[in-house]
Amino acid sequence: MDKKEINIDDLRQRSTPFTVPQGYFDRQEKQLLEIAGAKRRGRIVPLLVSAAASVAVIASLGMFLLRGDNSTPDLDSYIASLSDADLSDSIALDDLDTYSEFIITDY
Amino acid sequence: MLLFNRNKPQSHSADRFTEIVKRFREPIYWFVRRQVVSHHDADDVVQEVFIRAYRSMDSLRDEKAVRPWLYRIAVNETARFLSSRYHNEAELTEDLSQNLMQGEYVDYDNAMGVTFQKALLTLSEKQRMVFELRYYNELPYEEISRICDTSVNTLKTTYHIARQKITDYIINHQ
Repeated sequence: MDKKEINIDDLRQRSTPFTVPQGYFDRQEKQLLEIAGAKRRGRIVPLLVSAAASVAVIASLGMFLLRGDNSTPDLDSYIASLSDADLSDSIALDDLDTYSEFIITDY
Repeated sequence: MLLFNRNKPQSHSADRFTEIVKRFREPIYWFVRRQVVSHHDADDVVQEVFIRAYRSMDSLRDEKAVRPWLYRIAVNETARFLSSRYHNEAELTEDLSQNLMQGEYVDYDNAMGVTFQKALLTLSEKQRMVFELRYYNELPYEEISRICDTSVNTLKTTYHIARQKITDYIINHQ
């Protein structure tokens, strides 16, 4: 066959025998757009976590500063001040059901 | 303790990316597909192309530069994929030919198409990429020059040689 008879520009339309699965390009578009969506969600979650952690730190600091005269007295000092008679009436730590029983409010 | 991402893209980047995806997803897919032959490999490479495109969108200032910018990413990712998969050109050609003749999603009723793609596989990787960009995507040489970092004159020569090789192959295999 004479080379001059072939012009590959005329073959462009049928030069690619490849096909794709049905619906592929629609699914592909959704997947590719998910890249932007996933990147946005990926930034939001750590931001929310950071914000929550910051609030917790600030709240703890605030609670600490606000205790003032209402703070719980030093427990060791209090125990040291108890007489033997008082101590014999005290409940052992191991017997406490809740931590709240350990907090001295009557003084 | 607060963690701020100083590199967070602008809020309109997602819209810009959406536009780029809608406009280029099919041409980029076919560009990659003709290089790697396998649909599944092309799908993987295209994902990487658009992931990298999204990450580097802030560097894109000129809207007219979108097409060469994206094709450059596609050229790089395709080359990266092929170099990681194959140790040499011979191994690459053999495997791609096998995928062409025995792979999924190939219309073997299109005999001319199969022959044409076999002809493409006789080209070097660089010749194939230049041919793709010029023949199928009809990009101007100046734009291909920006994509491939090659002079226009070299590209014209490369394209001419590629066309001749394909023409000869088709004539000899009909």
